[in-house]
Amino acid sequence: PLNLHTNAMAAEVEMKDAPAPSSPSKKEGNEATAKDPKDAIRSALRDALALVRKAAAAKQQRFAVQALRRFFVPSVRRSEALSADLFAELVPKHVADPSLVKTIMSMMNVSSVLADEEEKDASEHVTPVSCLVRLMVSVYLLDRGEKAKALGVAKAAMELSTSCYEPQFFDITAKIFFYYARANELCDGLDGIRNELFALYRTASLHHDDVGQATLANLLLRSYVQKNMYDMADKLLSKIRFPEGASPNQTARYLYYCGRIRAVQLDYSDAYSNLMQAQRKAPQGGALGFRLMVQKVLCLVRLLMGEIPERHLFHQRGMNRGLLPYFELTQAVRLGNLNAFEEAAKKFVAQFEADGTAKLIARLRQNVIKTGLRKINLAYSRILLADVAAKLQIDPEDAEFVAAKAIRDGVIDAVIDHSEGILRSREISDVYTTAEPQEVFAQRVRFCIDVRNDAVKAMVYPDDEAKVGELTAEERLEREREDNELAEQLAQDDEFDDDDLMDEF
Amino acid sequence: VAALRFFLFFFVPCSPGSSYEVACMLSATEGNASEFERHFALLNGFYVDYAEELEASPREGTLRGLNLLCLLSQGRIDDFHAELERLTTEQLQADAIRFVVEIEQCVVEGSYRQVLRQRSNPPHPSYATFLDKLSHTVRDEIASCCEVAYESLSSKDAIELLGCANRAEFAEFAAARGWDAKGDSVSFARESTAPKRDKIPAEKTIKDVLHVARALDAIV
Repeated sequence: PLNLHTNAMAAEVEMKDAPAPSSPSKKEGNEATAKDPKDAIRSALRDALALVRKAAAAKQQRFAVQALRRFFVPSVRRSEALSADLFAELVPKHVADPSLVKTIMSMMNVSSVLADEEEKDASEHVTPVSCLVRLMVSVYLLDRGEKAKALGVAKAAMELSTSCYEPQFFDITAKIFFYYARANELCDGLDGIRNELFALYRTASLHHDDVGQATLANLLLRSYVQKNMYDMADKLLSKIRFPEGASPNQTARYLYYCGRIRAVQLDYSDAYSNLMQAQRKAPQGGALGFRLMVQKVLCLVRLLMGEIPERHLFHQRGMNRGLLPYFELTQAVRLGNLNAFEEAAKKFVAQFEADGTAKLIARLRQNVIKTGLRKINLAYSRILLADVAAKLQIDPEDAEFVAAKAIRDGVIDAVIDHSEGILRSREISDVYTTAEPQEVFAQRVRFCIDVRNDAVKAMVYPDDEAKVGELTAEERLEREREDNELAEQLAQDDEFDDDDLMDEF
Repeated sequence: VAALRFFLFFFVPCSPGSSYEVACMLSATEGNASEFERHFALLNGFYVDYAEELEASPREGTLRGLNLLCLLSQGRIDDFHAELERLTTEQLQADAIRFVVEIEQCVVEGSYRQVLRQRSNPPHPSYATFLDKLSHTVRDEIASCCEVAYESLSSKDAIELLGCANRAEFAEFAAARGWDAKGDSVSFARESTAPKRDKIPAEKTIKDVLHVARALDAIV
């Protein structure tokens, strides 16, 4: 009962100030349709602020998450109806600092309207609300490409966030950290604020702020990976403990960075499992930029492990063009054709540089040769080394050494006859006479058992089933409403946070 | 080496970095890897942290290449790659660095002939000692490849492959690796790869089956 009452109060306060009626059905004619989306946006924004107040009053974390969703869902954030004048209504009321109000207004080219004292939000929870408003303004400016202005507002949001750094607002402060870092990154790179990020991370750890820790850990890793400082990134990985309960989006990012670092360190199997997990944790429909990047690095890691990624992976919806350079590379590796490989590498060198994968690709040269050798070994039982050199397009003098090394590494099963200059394949023995089938079988059985055990552990009994009878009618309504909202949110999860992941890596 | 030392002192150090550069080159020429790494760590500090304040040293490329070569000759491939990742595209264009990168490619592919060829053409005299070390490593690699790839080799061919100077050196080398050098040819001891039909891996099978049985039992 208490919560509903506060909600109604907040709604009343908003309605008094609104110049336009909140219900579109009251308007007449064409104006109604033009204002509809705007009203929807406006009410979304106001809902967000109301939820923040609710969070402050109830001291529960879920309201802050809902507040953020009101704004960050693409139907609001990316809507064309989201315009400066909507903010012009909110900012003077909720941002306490008059000079900041003036700055924001001038940034958005809206005439500054200082609110009268009585209109100003004088509730006790003005600080977190003001934080959210500043965050929304800076995101709005960022989306429109105004990096410097966004940075200014983000800084203001950061400063205020320290005074409302409490568990119920951790989600909001984490978002503020993220967009502050993002604005910095777009302006002059993350190097400058790295120390600041570390200090924030320390504070977050002390306050047991899981969301903040996850966000900051990812920001720090990003700052290192962007500058190719992989050894520092590795040291960071060994020191931090990524919170288990972090959101799937943050976990996905973390796994992606881990995967990249491991790939550079030549630990390809670890990198592979990290990247596969990152793919699974990423939203299935949205976050195209992120999934594309993960797919690119995954493809390279598989090539470096000696596997060839399947064709259908390159033709996923929306990723065709982005993956084209990698597709051509894979073709060259699959055929063992060194010339084609060099050509493809040269043709798309700009793209590879931009992705930061150029050096990984340089390592692929030996894979091309290995695959080529393997194919030759399968196709020929005896072949002159000179012919091998011609097929692989390598120096004939080196062909012998290359083949010898391949034999030693177990790539091919053959013998070299030096006097005749021949590579002779060994007879392929019947694999069923070895112990291999037994081992593979045992491995598969073990895997199935593990899957079953994991599934059993993951089963969770629905809670509160026994307590249904104890709820009063109102509480049950509230509970139902929340369940519905949760279901909606889970359905919307793909869209939420999507844009953060779409940016250039 | 004494002459080299004398020569090196003619580099008038015009910045604090230069003296470290000279120290690095000196330890490299002497082949003292740990000393070189220490000096280079300090020098790297100058290159990276004070990049804005000090003017770029013309020898930076050479010294970075030397560092990469040092790592390569010690077989520290993952450190090599980590260092390589740090370099920007322009830095990678430097002759010295390209030289070392190509050598690494050749070693990994197995084009050992090329490696030995490159050895005669270093970008700077201080590279010589590490290149020597590298060629020893390469020779060991070639030897281990030979053991697996060939059933037997005539001594003449073996000498040619390994790049030994003469029979005596080859004989020494073969003895050190435990090869069976009979007269004119060398044959390589080979483990029988035929599947052992007589032995059933009883213990392993029992363990596996018990594990499965236990798991099945747990399924209610």
